[in-house]
Amino acid sequence: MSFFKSNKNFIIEIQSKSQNETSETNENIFPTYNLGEWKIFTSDDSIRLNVLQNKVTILNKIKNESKKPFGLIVTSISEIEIASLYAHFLYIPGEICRQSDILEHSAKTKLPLIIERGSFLAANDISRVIDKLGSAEIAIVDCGTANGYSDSILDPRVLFTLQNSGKPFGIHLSDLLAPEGTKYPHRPQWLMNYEFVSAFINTGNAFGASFYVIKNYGNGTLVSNNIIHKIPRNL
Amino acid sequence: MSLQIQNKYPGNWDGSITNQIILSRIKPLIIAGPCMLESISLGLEVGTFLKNKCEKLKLPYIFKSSYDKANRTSASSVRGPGLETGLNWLKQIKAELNIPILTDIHSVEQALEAGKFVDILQIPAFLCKQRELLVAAASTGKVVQIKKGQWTSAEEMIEIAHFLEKCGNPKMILVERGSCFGYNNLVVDFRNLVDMNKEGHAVIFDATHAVQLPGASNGKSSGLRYMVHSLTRAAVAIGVEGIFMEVHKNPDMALSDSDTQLTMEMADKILEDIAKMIH
Repeated sequence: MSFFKSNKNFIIEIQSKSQNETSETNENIFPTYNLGEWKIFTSDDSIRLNVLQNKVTILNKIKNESKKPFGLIVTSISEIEIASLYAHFLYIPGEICRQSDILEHSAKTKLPLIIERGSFLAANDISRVIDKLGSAEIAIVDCGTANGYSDSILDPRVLFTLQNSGKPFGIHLSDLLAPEGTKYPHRPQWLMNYEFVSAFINTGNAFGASFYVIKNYGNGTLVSNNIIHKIPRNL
Repeated sequence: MSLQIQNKYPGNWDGSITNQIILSRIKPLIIAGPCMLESISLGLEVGTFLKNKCEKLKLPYIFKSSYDKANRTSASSVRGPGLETGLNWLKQIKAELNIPILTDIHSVEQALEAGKFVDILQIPAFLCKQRELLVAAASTGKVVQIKKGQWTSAEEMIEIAHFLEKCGNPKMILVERGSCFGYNNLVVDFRNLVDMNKEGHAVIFDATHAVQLPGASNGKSSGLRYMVHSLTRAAVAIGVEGIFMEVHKNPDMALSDSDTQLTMEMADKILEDIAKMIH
């Protein structure tokens, strides 16, 4: 697969369930699924993902019915082994972006890898993550930087650093809009403003972001139809 | 100084870690040892020193060390002796020194293997929300110590504690180890010691990781060792169930966290001070 090298931008759309829920048929919107309930969700509207049940049946169905490449979110070595049999690319969450075993096993699959920069990770340390992945084909996602509680800041210095990393990079719009813990009172409500999404996209475009990531569930839900027109070299 | 008397924890856990060690704010637990279990001799030497010191000061003591540093900044950094050798060494230290043991886990397999004999399983900060790991740790029935992610709020930690309780294991300790404060920097927000205890959960202060400067030293973490003593005093004054600290015979030569591990002399002074504060 060569979509990292495409001249066109693309969107990674993280699905809430084990079926593609997007209404958008654009060829450069790639669905991505949670392979398991990998994380303790702390949002009120957390959903129970159902991929764990009947895993093989569901993954076969996704593979057979999917008309375009799709990804699976992986968080353990056993998940990587399963996902590599079905997915066109693997997606590694930011929390585990430093876990050497996960990175090395992901790289061994030879699949394209999309890896989030942990919100705790200084931008220049992304080079250490790239080193751990060796010669794997990778793209990096910036989910923002945590400099406080339940907030996530899009820092142009990070984008500049990613731009110079030699790897394609994207921006996680849903995480920037509504990072985990959004519901807590220590996070001012004015930050939950959907109009900020345009600012995130404009900033990403200015630095040459190749793609954008959205979730279609929970806090920070975004609909691809509503953002496509903001993205250049479009889709 | 405010020291809250508290011997009952959520889920009706009495705070027992072993028959001899029961968590209490009156007599904080000391969890200490080398960051990485570089050799059995290092573990035995540091463990013997800390055990004797804590016995003299009448402070409960648990040995800690890691067999696998699974998230080093750099791919070329040493990771430790590995699961099999590391657990054998920890068993030997437990038996020879007759002390309880804490070690950290990074996968389901490690949780189940280490859970066979260690007294506390520690969930590293980066992995504090990993469901499978928490379920596996809870299933061992051992005390589970969860470090607060550097990006995570105290409220989120309470929700993680609720999850562990739902897994059927109320035996847990929450740990403050600093919050992200810009790049390559952490600060300790002491409000978290209070907030993580809002529902009565046991709270421990990780004094040496809290002074870390992550990734600040060209591919490895640096830190402010001189701050450990002052921050420890502050945590004890606020009230915690224990202090976690990493101690090495020769920190400058340590294979991990060389800028933050304490010398045995520094640990000696800090332990003396803790004893003075609580007595």
